[in-house]
Amino acid sequence: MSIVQAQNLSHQYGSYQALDNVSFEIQEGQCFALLGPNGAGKTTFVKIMLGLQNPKSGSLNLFDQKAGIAEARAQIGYLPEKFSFYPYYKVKDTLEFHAAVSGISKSQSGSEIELAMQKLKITELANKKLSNLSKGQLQRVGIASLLLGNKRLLILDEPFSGLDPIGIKDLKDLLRELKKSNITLFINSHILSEVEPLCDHFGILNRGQLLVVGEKNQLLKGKSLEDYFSEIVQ
Amino acid sequence: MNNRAFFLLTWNTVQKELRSKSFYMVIAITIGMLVIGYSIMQAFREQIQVEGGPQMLGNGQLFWIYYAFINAWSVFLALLFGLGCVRSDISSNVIGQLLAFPINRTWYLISRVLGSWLLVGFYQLLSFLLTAVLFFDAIKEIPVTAMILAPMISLLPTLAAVILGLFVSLWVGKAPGMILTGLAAMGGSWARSVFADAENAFANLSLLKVVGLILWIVIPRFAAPHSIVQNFAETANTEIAWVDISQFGVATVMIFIITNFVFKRRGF
Repeated sequence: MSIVQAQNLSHQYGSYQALDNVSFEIQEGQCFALLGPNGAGKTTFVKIMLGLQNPKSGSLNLFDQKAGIAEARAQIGYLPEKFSFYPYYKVKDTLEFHAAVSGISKSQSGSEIELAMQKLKITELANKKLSNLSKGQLQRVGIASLLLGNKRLLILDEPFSGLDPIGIKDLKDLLRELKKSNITLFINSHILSEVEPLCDHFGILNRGQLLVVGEKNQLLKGKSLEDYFSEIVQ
Repeated sequence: MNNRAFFLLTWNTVQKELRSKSFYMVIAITIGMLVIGYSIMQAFREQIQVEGGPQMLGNGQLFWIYYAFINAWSVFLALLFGLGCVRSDISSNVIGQLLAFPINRTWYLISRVLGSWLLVGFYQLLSFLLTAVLFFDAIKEIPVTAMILAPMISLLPTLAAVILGLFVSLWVGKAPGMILTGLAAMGGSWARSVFADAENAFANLSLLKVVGLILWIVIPRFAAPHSIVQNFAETANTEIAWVDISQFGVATVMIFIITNFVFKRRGF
């Protein structure tokens, strides 16, 4: 089943072309990486997926519904590059808030929050305020919030940013585990070395144009992602 | 959006404002001004009575002056909260995360307005209670209906002010927004004094007059609902200003509809 369907998607900010006629599909259970240098249009694509931006032309469907509608967003988990929330909220309150606005019942949310905190090794931070957390700890809270509810698609915008080596390893393990449970992963990144072992499909965006898209092994043909990327972008 | 999420978002609005020092400052200033003003008035009155001077205002009349003062401050506070309730989410980048959830944007706006309004309502109630304590003797002279209506009617202009502040905050920050809404409110008040009794408001149009007419039509007439309380208070032969009240209601609803329309199409 097609989870993401982009057709001739274009978007401009004034005269700047952020996305130019982008078309591709992501199937259920895939781990898809959208790669590109800074300013390539990756974040704009994510914003359209989340309904935070309306495209100027073209269409983007999630789960066969128009991206942005509440029914589609209910099935998405989103981790921004810099997870930020109200600094006076405690970790547990933050996760409770995320569970509530995701539509998870109060009776169900308690156990889910406990489990998510255990998986991300932040149980001892439960009663700490977000303002007292390090960047890496904050990112872990953001990742924990993704595990709440039955999400079918996880959108991770530069997920490795701000994490220490142990944090990166933990996140990679977690993403592998999620992949096994048939959750579709959409990773937006420019740290190619971290993304390469995880993704099975990728696309490269540059100046709003989708240069390549497809299955990783078919595209790379034995090359490293880093070499292939610089070849394509240059 | 489910009820729990709506309640959490509304409560979150209250929490955000409770953390801002401006709320406590305004409460402290209000209490200070009410108590000091009352003490000065009483001392002044005793002085005049001793020297056989002219008759001062009675406590009943002073009560209504305090009522007007509280309402003016409440509108200011409501504008301040209205300007910040969504703007703070935008400036802290939390809005993208919030709107990525299955939250309906209209309900998000309503929760922000409701939270800010609840807080201003609490401030008003506190101020009225303090005024009632200060003028305890005079309360007996005031009709019961007016006493009950006064705090309830006062909530209407503050709701309109929160919505107006929210509308302005979609384009400008808190400080310029405060200046802009302050100017608009003063302009609206000036326009009201000019056009309310004008035989032909559209005669001899000049640029200034056109601006005044626009303000007169567009800005909710915050003072209009108070004519109901004044009518029941019998302090003066005040007619209920139904035309102005209708303008107040329609303008407030229209501002919310436009705010919602713009917000739903805004990219974050």
